[in-house]
Amino acid sequence: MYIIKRLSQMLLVVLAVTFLAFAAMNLLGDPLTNLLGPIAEADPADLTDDQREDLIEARETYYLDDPFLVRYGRWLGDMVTGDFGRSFKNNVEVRTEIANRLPVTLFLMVYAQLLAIVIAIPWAVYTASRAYRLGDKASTIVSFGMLGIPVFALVVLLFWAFAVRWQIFPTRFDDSDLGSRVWSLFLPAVALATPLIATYQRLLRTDLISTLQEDFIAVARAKGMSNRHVLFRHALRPSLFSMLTVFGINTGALIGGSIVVEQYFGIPGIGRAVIEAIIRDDFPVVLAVVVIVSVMFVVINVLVDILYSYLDPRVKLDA
Amino acid sequence: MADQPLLELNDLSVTFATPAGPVRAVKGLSLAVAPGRALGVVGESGSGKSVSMKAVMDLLPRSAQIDGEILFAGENVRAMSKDRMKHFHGVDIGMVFQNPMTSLNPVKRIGEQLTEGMRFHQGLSKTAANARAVELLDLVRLPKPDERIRQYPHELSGGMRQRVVIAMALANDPKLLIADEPTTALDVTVQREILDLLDTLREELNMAMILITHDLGVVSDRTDEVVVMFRGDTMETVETSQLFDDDRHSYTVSLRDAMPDITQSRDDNLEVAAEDAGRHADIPHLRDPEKAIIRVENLVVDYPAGRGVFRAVDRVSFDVYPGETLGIVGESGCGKSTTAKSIIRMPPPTSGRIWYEGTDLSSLSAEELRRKRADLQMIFQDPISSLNPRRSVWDIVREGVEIWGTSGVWSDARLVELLEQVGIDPKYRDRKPFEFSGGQCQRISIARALALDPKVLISDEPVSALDVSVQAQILELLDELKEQHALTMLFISHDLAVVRNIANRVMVMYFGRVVELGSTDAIFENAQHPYTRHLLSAVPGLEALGGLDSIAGGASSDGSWLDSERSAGQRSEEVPALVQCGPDHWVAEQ
Amino acid sequence: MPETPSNPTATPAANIGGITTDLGSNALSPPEEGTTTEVSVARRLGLGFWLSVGWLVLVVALALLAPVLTLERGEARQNPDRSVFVLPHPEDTAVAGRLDGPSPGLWFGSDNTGRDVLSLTIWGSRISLLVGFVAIVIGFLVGGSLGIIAGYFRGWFDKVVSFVFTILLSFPALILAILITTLLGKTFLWISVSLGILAIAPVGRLARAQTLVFAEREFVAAARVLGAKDSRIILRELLPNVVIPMSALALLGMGIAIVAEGTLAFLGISTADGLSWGKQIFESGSNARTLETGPHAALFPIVVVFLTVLSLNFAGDRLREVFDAKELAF
Repeated sequence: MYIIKRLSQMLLVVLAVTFLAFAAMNLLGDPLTNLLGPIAEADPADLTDDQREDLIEARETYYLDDPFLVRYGRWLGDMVTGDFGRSFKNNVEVRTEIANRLPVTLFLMVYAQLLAIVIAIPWAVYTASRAYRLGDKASTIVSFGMLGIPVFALVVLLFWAFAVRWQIFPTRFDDSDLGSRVWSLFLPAVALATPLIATYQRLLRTDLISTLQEDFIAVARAKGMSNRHVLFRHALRPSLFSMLTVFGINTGALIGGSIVVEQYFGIPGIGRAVIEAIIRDDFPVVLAVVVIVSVMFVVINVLVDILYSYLDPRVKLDA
Repeated sequence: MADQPLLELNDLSVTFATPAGPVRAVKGLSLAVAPGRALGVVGESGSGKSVSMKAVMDLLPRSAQIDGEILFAGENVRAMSKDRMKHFHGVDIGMVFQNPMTSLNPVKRIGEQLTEGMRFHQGLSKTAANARAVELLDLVRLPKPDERIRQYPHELSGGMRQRVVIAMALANDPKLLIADEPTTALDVTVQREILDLLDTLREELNMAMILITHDLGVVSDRTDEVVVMFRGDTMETVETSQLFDDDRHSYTVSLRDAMPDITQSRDDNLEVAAEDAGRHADIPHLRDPEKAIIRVENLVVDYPAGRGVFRAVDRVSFDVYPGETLGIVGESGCGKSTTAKSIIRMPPPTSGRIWYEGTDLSSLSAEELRRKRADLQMIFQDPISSLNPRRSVWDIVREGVEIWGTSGVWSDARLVELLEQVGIDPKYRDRKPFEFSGGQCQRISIARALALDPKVLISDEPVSALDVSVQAQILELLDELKEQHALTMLFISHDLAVVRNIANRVMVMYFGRVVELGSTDAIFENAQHPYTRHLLSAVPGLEALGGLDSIAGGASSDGSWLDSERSAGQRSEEVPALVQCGPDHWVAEQ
Repeated sequence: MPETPSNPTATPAANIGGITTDLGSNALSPPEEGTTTEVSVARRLGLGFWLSVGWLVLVVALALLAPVLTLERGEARQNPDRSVFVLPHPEDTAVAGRLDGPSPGLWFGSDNTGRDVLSLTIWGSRISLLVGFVAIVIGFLVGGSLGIIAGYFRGWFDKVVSFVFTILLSFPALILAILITTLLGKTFLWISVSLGILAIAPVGRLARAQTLVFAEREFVAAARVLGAKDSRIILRELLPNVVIPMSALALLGMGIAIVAEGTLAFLGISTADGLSWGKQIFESGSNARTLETGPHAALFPIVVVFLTVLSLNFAGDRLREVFDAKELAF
């Protein structure tokens, strides 16, 4: 029941996000200009046949002769069936473009999230169990540093140190096999993961510290259970909520980060596709990416919700 | 005693390092419990009673420095190896904590929490441990134990959870049970059940017990010996039977005197109570409608709950006369607060009518109602939460005057006078609430309510968050102010002894309905309804105080009415009518 | 047991038993707090907080004074023996060699085109800081008031506002900013507005959550019982309580906005003309050869951005910790 309710809420979110993006394209300025650039405003007589065909096709693909709401509805219907249209700038099916680009980005994002979680959880447990002592204080400084450095500065720093100066990692993205893919994506993943590690560590540490003050922890200690057992078996699970919530919400921020990282390291993912599309004013691609990203956001957040109810049996009732 | 003591503390001190310098929470505590005996440790908050037991259990933060000797059956606890220490915690001693709602891990099944200690310390297999868990739950009288072990804590009530916590403490057959305020968070009838259970188990299993509590009544019923603590110092150690003797330590005596005495009736019972003229035609227990300052008829308050509604208050009728104090008592969730607060439409009633001085409040517009509110003021349970932390005392007390403009009744000089009346030195008027103690905050809250010169004061559990000595001061203050300001008071409380001391009339509520209504003496001396009698009989320390006439026989205080009511699961459709059983005494038909 | 341990009646609170005497003598004194609150708050904020504030003051002062500190365009080349305290104009190329290292008079060295890196960094801060500031002001005015009103009145308004916040949060922030700036123009105004829109949801959610927390406290009920109107309760009771955690968020949010502007500039879609930290770092840091010969040209602005964001984060975090607001809504 709870999941269904959340799912329908999330579907509403997808509708709203796509609506906004579509409305932006249609209402901010002339949609044809947004789609095709200057040729939309040029005198039809000056255009080539191809360009005239583009004009007609754009009108049809985006239902520009229909009223706005109908236009949105029909466009959304196309999206659902996987018809993302065609780029008018480089004549590629948007669907193919996305299909080529998305896997790399997903790989990078999962890579970064895994790195972040694998490092952040033990680190947070360590610092929470030694809260306010030396190791914890030093950790706070480190995690602040990790949060303070913007991704665009971090990529430069990492690239300079590990690819230019010490030349441990390749300077280019190498997709020849899985090993070199993992290896060449290491620096990009670290750049993406750094702020995540710090965020997760800080959230989990805070929550763990307050959980460790709960009575049921004292009860477990009074039962003579070992410190390790108390930390991992009693305290960790009820403390994961803020971290998990941010994990879900961060999906949006992660896309932003991967745009920077892909652009800088020359990784052919959708982040780079978006930047390229924006630079050449290629609106169909931008729209498609917005749709995909918002769907991704929703899927991840629904998964997080399912995880919630697994982590805490009370969640189902509180719906 | 010839036996070697099971647990012995010799000159135990606990010092906390704080930014403001070291704070000595326990100063030289010495005590001893023999096998099978029950020791009470009594004190108000800050007395060090819990800290000392946490020192025994090694549950204190690292900033705590422990001095002195802790011996368990002659063995020095502080010199134990890590492994021996785990065994000592897990097997030799069992501990029960104050709040059952937070003592169980919310994300783990009951069974897992019960068995992990056994599996760890006794190396039991999963099945053996599960079988033992069922046994334990049966031992603590939890019905359907084999289903319980698969449940999560939130599926159980507070009393049931505390039974689980007790079962957990008993899992490895401890020789000593330390119970830290085990019933403070529970309703009085549940409190009695849990304390009875602890008593029985102690005998069955031949355990020693240390019972930590703020309530002299609780220890007086349940222990052999009592240690009285105050601000980390031990005041005295005394056989429980002599606790109420005259030659006790002055602090013990003052603690005893501060306890509201449930056997003592007020000396100023109001005449209005006896008047019988002009009864309400449909609701006979409403008396003279002309004279009532507040009259409530068939009040219903529903809260949305899931898909349906929960009826918090079900067709309640009562009246209040000028100058009297009506006590509303009952256990948590019985609707006593909601009933009183819906008079000022917080929350607004779902149906029913409320008259104030002859005006039907439901007929008023929002603005007219807001104006009426100056007459109907309120004080709250939590003294800290009821004051805005960012405003000074003066701003808080002056707020009402500010709202109603300069035409208000109170000049600054009178507000200063009011602060003095409630016992706050006006020179501290620029301080913020956090600089005051709980009792002082409650005084400020009272001053704020009185600044508008109200006619009616609704007091919602005003003393239940306070220590017993502070509680006595606030009650006395309220009583005085009631005289000075000619107030009518609705006093909501779960504490029967407090109500006996302050109320002229009492209304007993159960599950959203009135079960008994009458003059304070009638209710306490001659309770008719089985629920009222059950409530009264559950009051701790009653025997030491000489008992109450109404339940002296104990005939119908066995809770059978409550049991049948609970097992029915829901209320009857009809509200039982109140029938007269004395000059000013009405009881619900059963 | 000795009957006379330290006598309780010696301490002030020992009136504990003597109820009547206590009431008779009136006037209870609050527990002694020592010095006044303001002093102890300043001290509790700690050295790190004040160091952060010091750095921020320095950065803001340099940004404000930038026109005074630098020469006119072209002036530096005509006058190579300038005083060490006067910087060349940031857009002046070849005031030094290509990628010259730091030296007196050229504190941060020069970049790939021979521009003065310090001068670039100071001028770059102007847009970064201003965009961050305007964005946060927009976020606070819109998000803060929406959040407080939604949290106080609840009901349908709350539902709508919360939904809008969820949408804003689920919209990939950078893509939204990119969308707005590409459609409306890469100007200072639209970049500030788009970053301001992005700030609405996080700020609003915190304001709403804090309002919910405090609206449940009994002092709000008490004010209502006294007859206070909603407007009064919001302004006098809730706002002072909500403002403190919000001000902590303002500092954090400003850091985020600065980073966001830097990111846009780094990607080449911030203000078309003008300088910005992001643009500077991209220009000096996107080429492996440049990085190899003159890493300082990228590293100096990176350090400055880092210290600025760090200071904002740290100061905000200390404020939040000292005033004990829960970690919400990030």
